[in-house]
Order: sequence, then structure tokens, then C-alpha cells
Amino acid sequence: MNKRLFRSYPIGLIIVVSCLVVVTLLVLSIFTVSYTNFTKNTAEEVNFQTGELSTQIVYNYENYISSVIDLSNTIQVDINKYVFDASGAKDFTKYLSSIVHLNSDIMGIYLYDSATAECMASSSNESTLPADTTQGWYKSAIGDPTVHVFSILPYEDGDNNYKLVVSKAIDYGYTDFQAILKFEMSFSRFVSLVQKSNLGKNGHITIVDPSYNIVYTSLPTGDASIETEAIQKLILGTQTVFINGNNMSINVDTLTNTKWRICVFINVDMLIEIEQQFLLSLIFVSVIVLIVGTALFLYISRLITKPIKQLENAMQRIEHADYFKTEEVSIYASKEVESLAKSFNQMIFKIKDLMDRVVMEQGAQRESELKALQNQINPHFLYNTLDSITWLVQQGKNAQAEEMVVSLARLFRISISKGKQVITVKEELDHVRNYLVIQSIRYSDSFLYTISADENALACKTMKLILQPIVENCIYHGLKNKIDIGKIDICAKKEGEYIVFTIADNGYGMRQEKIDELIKSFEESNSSDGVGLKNIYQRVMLYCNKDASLTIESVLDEGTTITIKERIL
Amino acid sequence: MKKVLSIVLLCVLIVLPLLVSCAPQKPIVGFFVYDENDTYMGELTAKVKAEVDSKVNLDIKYASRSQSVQNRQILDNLKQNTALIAVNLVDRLSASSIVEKCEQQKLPLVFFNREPLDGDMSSSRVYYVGANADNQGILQAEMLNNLFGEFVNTAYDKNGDGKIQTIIFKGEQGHQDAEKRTKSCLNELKNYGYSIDILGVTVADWSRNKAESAMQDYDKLFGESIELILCNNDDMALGAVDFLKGAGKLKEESASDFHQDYVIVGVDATEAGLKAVKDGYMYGTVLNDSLTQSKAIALLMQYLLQNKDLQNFPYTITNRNYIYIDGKIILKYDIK
Repeated sequence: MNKRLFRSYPIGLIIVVSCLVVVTLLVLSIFTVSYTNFTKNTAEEVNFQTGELSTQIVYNYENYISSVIDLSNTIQVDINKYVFDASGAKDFTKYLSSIVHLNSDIMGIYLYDSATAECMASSSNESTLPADTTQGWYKSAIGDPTVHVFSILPYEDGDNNYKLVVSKAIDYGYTDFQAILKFEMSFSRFVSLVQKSNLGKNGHITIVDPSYNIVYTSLPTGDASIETEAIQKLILGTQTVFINGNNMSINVDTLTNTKWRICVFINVDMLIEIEQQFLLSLIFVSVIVLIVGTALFLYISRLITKPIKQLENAMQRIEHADYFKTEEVSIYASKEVESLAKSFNQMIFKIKDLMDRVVMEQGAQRESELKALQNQINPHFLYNTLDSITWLVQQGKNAQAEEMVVSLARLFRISISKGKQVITVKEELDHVRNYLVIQSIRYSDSFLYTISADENALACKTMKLILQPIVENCIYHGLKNKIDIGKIDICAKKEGEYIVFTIADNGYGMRQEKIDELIKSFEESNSSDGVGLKNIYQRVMLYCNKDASLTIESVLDEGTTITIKERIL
Repeated sequence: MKKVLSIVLLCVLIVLPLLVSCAPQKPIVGFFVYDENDTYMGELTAKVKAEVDSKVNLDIKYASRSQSVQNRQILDNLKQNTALIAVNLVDRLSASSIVEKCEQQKLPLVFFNREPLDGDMSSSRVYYVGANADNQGILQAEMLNNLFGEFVNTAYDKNGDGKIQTIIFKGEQGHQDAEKRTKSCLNELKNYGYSIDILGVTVADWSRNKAESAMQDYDKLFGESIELILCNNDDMALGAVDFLKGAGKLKEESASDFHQDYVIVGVDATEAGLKAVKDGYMYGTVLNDSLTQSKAIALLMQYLLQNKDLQNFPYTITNRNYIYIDGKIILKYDIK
């Protein structure tokens, strides 16, 4: 599956895409984990901090309330010390006024008979009106004699001022006598308890009763219904809610010794902002990482694919080149590609080596063939010449014998010429001259010969022993048994880059068919027929790398002209 | 195919232990006690734990007498997939919030030992298990009646005025039990025909130390004229004993009869209280039957957790969701 998936795409693309996928996944997971952790931590931190803050506020209120209750308990205990007759109530009134005097928060303490609602005692002599039995503070206190009833009531004299009223049913002497004790307290103290705490913009406290009616709120303005809804949903505990354009952490707690619940609203916009900043910086970092990652992977993939491309190009150059060229590919890249290039270079050199060896072997083969061909010249001629010398010596023709021996010696010296294949034109001509000298002595001057050469051709190099076999042919096939005197003209000329030898006789000549047959036989390797000419042709061609020619022109009964044209090497 | 099979096998091997570990776990019950240092509550808690330990995972938290702390403990507990909440309130007036919160979370709720206001027990799955405080006060009066007899012209009327000079140690102002015990006892004593002269009422917060120091003040004020020390619990009675013993005004009494200068009675019958009764320091105590209460609490928890019908509940349910456990008089000869 996977192999098929990756097969036809370039390496670079695969690297970039797969690395990007990995990096993106990595970045995404880091992003998610750190963001959720951060928000979780900040949420926990917010909850903890607001919890602590509101605990402190609740603690302040509870302290305040319990101090009121302590005072009430003290009065409840102390009340047993007073006798409530016409004069005794006066003492109790004094007692109450002293408490009010000592405690600046308390504006008044009243004792009402629970049966008649008459005021039995009051901290101030002026207000001794009977209690309004329809009011909540009175009814609730009668309803449950075990609890202190806290209520917030407006002042009788209007305005926006409020007072805190605490009422409690008490029974003293544990008789049937029951009374309602009522404290009226300054509200400013109640308000000041929250003002000390910094709750942020729009931060405030709200106190609600069990039916979620707002008893008190320190929020100057604003719609309270939204927040009571939030409180009603939360009931107890801490939660962050968006209220009136602010993120507020709400903490709802009970207010001990009262039925009230206290809700502390703390502005946490700042923390939300920090969270957003964190998110932004996280996004920024992620984008940077992705960009850098992409660039890096592009670079890496380039690093890998570029040398491969170079190698490919080098291979293509070799593929398209007309001749084999050993071009070393030098690539400096990753280790693998370098070693690939090295291997490629080694392969190229190996091929070159192999080709060189093939060329060399071919050369050696040519040389050995040459040698073999040259060697075909010698034996008969040597025997015949030695026979002729023997005959001349027997006849007493010593001068001729001497001439013949000298010529033979020269002939062989040039023939051997220290094993060289190539000799000068002059030497070649000398060679054929010596040969002709020997042959003309043998055949008693039955033919004439001329050897002519351009002065500038003499020093040129030529394949050796190419003239003598042709001359031998002329003598044996063209001139032997001829009635009139035979004639051989040998000429060497330089024509530009070529040396041209012409050997002309005035022999019988050949038919054109014979000539064609001869020419055709030149190209055949196996035929032993016409050894001489073919031998020369093949040698010259080998020697000159095929830049040579051998032409035969013949007219019957008039003679034959053979021209060898070879490139000067 | 093999590969797929092995992956499936691997997943099963990984997931299986998780499933097994979550399988049948004991339900979590949040158990909240108002204070760790209350002897009686300590005993009650231990007994409840012993009763239910095999069936539920009891998560016990002590609130150090702060309702705010208790509220947070309950809220934390609600986050843990709790099956039931049992609360010994710090402040009985705070019950309504907890009732609402449990109703919102659809959790059954059991209050114990501190009775919420009647109006707050509105929800159908809210119960209260506690001592019958009125009954305890009546029993206190009953045992005093047994001791005093006519009272007038007896050794117990030290000043001979025919009135019982009484100091009262109240548990807490506003505590239902404290108020009820005191009031019912005094009423019952009146019903028996005694006349009572209350020298002082001290709210000693159920505490032995506070009672001891308050006793010191009373001793300075009234000295020998104190005839009855009426305490809402044994700890405060022991506080009074501690002071009087220290001042040499109370001695151990091995006789089976009671002849002390101070008649001290308590409620609860804690171990220390029983020992004081046995040693003759205290006249008697009323068994605040923690064992029966713990059994009732434990059984109620199981009924609620299993959604059983409470029709067959072995303890009497009054007023739809109140279970009151009556007390018992414990005097010297009751203790073996």
C-alpha cells in the first residue's frame, strides 16, 4: 500500500510533505496540550484566588454577624439578672443604653413583649412604640425562636439609607414569658466590610435570601436580574460568568447564622486577557515553527535531491555524448550521494579502462597480423637469389655475384630495419632498388627499370615493403617470358598529406574482370589468393587507419599501373 | 489480516484492565462533620464508618466549625461522582443551599445530628437523622426528679430556699439540640413542680475547656450556692467537673448512692462522661444513642443508594423525613 503511495512522487516532495505533516501534528498537539493546561491552570488559579478573596469577605461578614450574635447571647444571659416590674425595666434600659454607648455600630436595642408587641425596654427613651407585628423581622423571630433573624430595612425617614435589623425571640427565666429582642445596626459598617477588598471593575457583593431576592448589593447600577439568574444556577461554589460586559468570577457561599447567601463578584477580565495573550503568542510561535520547519525541510530535500539531479545530469551527458568521455562527476553533498558519485566515477573509469584495453588488444592484434604478412615475403626469393649467387660464382662472374650479395644484404637490412614497421620513402625505394638489382642480374637484364622520387617525399614515412611485392608481381606475371624488353617505372610523390607510389610496367596487362576480382579479394580475410597485393592493401589500410587506397589500371598488352596512396602519419 | 487481528487484540488487552478496574466499585458517600474535635461526633462517625465500610466508600471531611469550609468540601465532593451526601451541618441555617445543590445534582441528602430548619427540608430526597433533643431534656429532668424527690428540705437544697439554684451550660446559641434540651428539661422540671432559680446561662460551644473556665467564673460569683449544673453535653459537664475537682470541691465517690455537693448532669454518654458518672463526679447522663443513630444513618444510606422503599424502614420516620432516636437515662448503676 505505502510503497505504491510513495512510488511516483519525487523524493523532495515526500520529504517535505511527510516532515510537514509530522511537524504540524507535533505543533498542534503541543499547542493543544499547553493551551488546555494553561487555561485549566488559570481557571483553577482564578477559582482559587476568587475563592480565597470571597472566603475572606465571607469571613469578615461572619465575624461581624457572630459579634452581633455574641452580644445578643450576652444580653440573653444578662436579662435574667433584671427584674421586669415597673422599676426593673428601667435598669434594663440603662443596661441597653450602655451597650449602645459602647458599641458605635448599634443604633438601638429594643425589647418587645411577644404577646402584646409592647415595647418593654429600649436603649433610648424616645422610641418606645410598640412593634409592627406585620413586619418580617417580628414574624420570623416569633416563627423560629431558636434563630437570629437578620433583615435589612430602610430608614423610617426615607432616603437611600438602610439599617440592619437583628431580631431574636428570647425567653428568660425559662418561664412562659417571651420577648423579642431587636437590634438596629448601622449599615455603613456592613457596607465597609466589602469596600476594603479590591474586586476589580464592577466587582461587588450581593446578598440574597433563600428565595433569591436581593437583600443587599454593593453594585451601584446595572441589571441585577442577570446575576440573580447566575446565582440561582450556581447555588453554591465558584464559577466564571460573563455578566454585563465583564468576565466575573462568582463565588456563592452561605452566611453563617443567617439564611442569607453571599455572592462575591470579582472581575477577572485581566486573566481572560492573559489567556488570550497566551493564545496569541502560542499561535505566533506555532506559525514561526511551521515556517522555519518548512524552510528547513525544503533546504534538506534540496540538499538530498540536488546532487542526485547532478548525478542524473552527468549520466545523461555521457548517454548523449557521441564518443565516450571520462568526465569525473564531483559532487559534494551528503555522504550517501557522494559515495554514489564515487561509485559512478569508478564505474566510468572502469569502462574507460576496459575500452582502452580493447583498443590496445586490437592494436596488438594488428601488429601481429602485420608481422605475419611481412613474413610471407621472404623464403622463395631468398632461395632463388642464393641459387643465382651460387650459379654466378660457379660461372666465375664474381663481380655480378658480389653485386648481388651486397644488394641482398641491403635488401634484408631494410627489410628487417630493426623490426620497425615504418621506414622513410628513401629506404623503401632503396629496398625496391636492391630487389630490382638482384632480379635484373638473375633475369640477365631482361627488363629495365627507373626509380624516381620527389625530393620532398624522400624523408616521409611510409609502411615498409609495399613496393617490392608489386614489383615482384610485375616481374613474374607481367614481364617474364616477354619477347621485347620489359620496363618498370617506380615513382614516389608527395601530394599534400599523402604519399603516392606508382608502379607501372609494360607487361601483358589484365582484363578488367581480373582487376575487379582482385579488388574484391582485398576485403576478404580468408583467401590466400593473390597474396601479394592483398597483403599490401591490408597492411597499408591497417597502417593508415583506412586513410589509404590501392588502385589498379591496366590495358591489355600495354601494361599495368598500380598506385598506392597513403596518408603520411 | 493478521496485522488487524493483532491490533484488535492489543486494544482489547489495553482496554480490558481499565474496564475491569471501573467495574463494580463501591459508591462514594460524602460524609461531612462540623468539627473533628467533638468527642460525640467522633464516636458517631467511627460507628457509621464501621457499619457501612464494606458497602460504600465513605469520604469523611471535617469542617473545623466553618460553614464556608464545609460548603467547599461538599462542592469538591460533588465533583467526584458522589452517590450520596451526608452532612452534619456547622450552621443549621445554611441547609437550604446544600439542599438545593443536591437537588440540582439529583443526589439524596442525609442531614444528621444538626437539624435544619423545617422549611428547608422540602426536597423529597432529604432526610434528617438525629437524637430526639426534646426527649433528652425530658429524660434529664426525669433523672433529676428521681434524685431530688421533694427537693425542699433535702440535702440537695443547700440554702434551703426550696428553689433549685441552677447554672446552665448551653452547647451553642442557635443549636437546635441545645435549645431543645435546655428548654424541655426546664419545662419538665417545672412540670414536676420544682421552682428553678437560674443563676446563669453560658454558651460554652459544647467545649470542655470553655465550660471549665466558665465554671471558674460561676464559682467566684455564686460559690457553694450552686445546686444544679445542667449541661447540654457530657464534655461541658466534664469541664465543670474538671474545675470543681481541681478546686477540691468534688471528690470521687465509690458508693452506689450519690452524695455530691454539686449535681451535674450531661447528655451523650461519651466514654469520658460514663467514667465520670461511674466515679461519682457526675450524677448521670442521657444516652445520646450514637450506636443506634449510626445504625439508622447507615441503613438510611443504603436504602437511598439502592432506591429502596422506606415504607419498611425499621426506624420510625416522623413528619415524612425525620428520624429521631430516643435517649436513655444512664446512672451509676447502669454502668458495668
